[in-house]
Amino acid sequence: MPLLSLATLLALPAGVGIDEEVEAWEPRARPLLDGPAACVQVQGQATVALAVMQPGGWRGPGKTEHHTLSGPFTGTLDHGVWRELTAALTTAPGVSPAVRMTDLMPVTGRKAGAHKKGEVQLGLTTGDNGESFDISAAGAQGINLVDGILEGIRPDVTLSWMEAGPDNGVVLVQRAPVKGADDDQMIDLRTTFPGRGAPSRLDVTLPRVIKVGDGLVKASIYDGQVHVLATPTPLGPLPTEESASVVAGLLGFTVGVDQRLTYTAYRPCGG
Amino acid sequence: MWMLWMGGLAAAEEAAPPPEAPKVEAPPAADWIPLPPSGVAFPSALTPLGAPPPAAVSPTPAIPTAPTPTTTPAAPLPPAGDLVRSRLSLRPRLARAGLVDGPAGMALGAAVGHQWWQLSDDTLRFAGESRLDLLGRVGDIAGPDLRLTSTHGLWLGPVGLLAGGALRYDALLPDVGGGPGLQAGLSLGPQGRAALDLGPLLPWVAFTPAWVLAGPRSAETLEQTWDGGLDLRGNHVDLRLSGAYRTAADLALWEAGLGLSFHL
Repeated sequence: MPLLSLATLLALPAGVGIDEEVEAWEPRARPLLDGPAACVQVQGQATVALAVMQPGGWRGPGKTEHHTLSGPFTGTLDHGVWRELTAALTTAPGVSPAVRMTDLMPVTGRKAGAHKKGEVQLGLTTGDNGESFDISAAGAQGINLVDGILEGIRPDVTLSWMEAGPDNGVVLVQRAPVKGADDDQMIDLRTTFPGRGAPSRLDVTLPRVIKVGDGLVKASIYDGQVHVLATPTPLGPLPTEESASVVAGLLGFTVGVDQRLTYTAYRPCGG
Repeated sequence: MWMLWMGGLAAAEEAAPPPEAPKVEAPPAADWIPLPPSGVAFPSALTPLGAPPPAAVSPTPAIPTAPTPTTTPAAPLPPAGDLVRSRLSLRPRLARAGLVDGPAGMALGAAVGHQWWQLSDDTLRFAGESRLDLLGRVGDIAGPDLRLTSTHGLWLGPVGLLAGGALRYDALLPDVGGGPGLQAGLSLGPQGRAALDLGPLLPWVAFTPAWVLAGPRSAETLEQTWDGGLDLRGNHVDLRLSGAYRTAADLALWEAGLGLSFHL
């Protein structure tokens, strides 16, 4: 455990910790990020909400346009790695602009996409039915979303403790300071173990505002958060619901994204 | 990682409308083991932007599902409307200006602005803007035009009412003949603005009475400036038409401007 900073110690809520071996619970939280230690096929429904903010001032009160895409997905999660993940998200019929999306970045599991890291393509087609965007993307290769966030933050200090949880269970709380955040705000990871059994829920909350970038051009990250709800199965804990959402501002433009996956069914690979 | 994730979501490629969703091959339903619906409503980063987070999807019951389990209540959502956003802007400025019944020329320069607004869906929303215009004049006229304007107020539905002040240092001198023109002067006064947000159209007016504080320009009369304009809003670009009529030192001046604003 690295040295603890005074700010971190001051941020520890008084009287909430319980006498538990943190090191014993930390590895037990991993299944929420890795998925079961098995190969499993899953299917479900995905919803992606996009919010595009228009600034206010002399020429308007400021407004935010909202777009929602939804559709089914199916995939194969093999020992924590997505071997295959197919999605077909579209805006509702008749909604303009029509947007479609064929790729997702789940919270659980590591994405083994074919795209290069950071690759971005932009396109716009104007046709008889109005504008049409086609979104097709992949996240980083072979890295879990939450692990990637922590990798980007590179906290100097991490503090972990246990709290009492539901059904006589426990909650593992992991907290680390975030560079660029206001007022020494922290990233919090809370993993719930109801009844001291398998983990059922993960909530990751980033500071309200994080400034990214050292030069003149800085991006702002607002209200980033990740949530996973899991249920026990014979293969191990499987996510039933997960979400990742963030708002980012860069060069005066602000866009928000909220991705939600609802897992509806599973089966062992080869079943 | 967040930026990478958002970059991935924003990645796009051309498609012929209307978009056709690729087929998602689902194995026979009989092989699948249903997962219980969670029914949970997670908090979302989009909530402060006025959007309800996407609800948990209730899938088509192609396969039987177990009863809904008890779930942990969602964390309290941050209230919308208590957040203020702001941004800086830098824009080129292009206008034609001159003396009424006198010489005219082009005004070229840039404007540095700061906008702020309240994130809310309420009818009453607060907003404001400050801008520093730095213009030089070419053609049959000469002289600088430096303006610092800052007005703040509220938007009541589609009606915007803002008030503040304007500090200006300028001169408008005929390059060749045509009389003495407007001598240099530093003026200060209040400014009131009104705008009407009609969606694709936004007409606006502003009035600025000003007193000359310094400079060789005559300070005997109150200077008055009427500004007005019309914004024509497109999907990703706005066309901004503006005009001004000003009386100062027994002279009448005019200005007509054209601007473009790009947005997502």
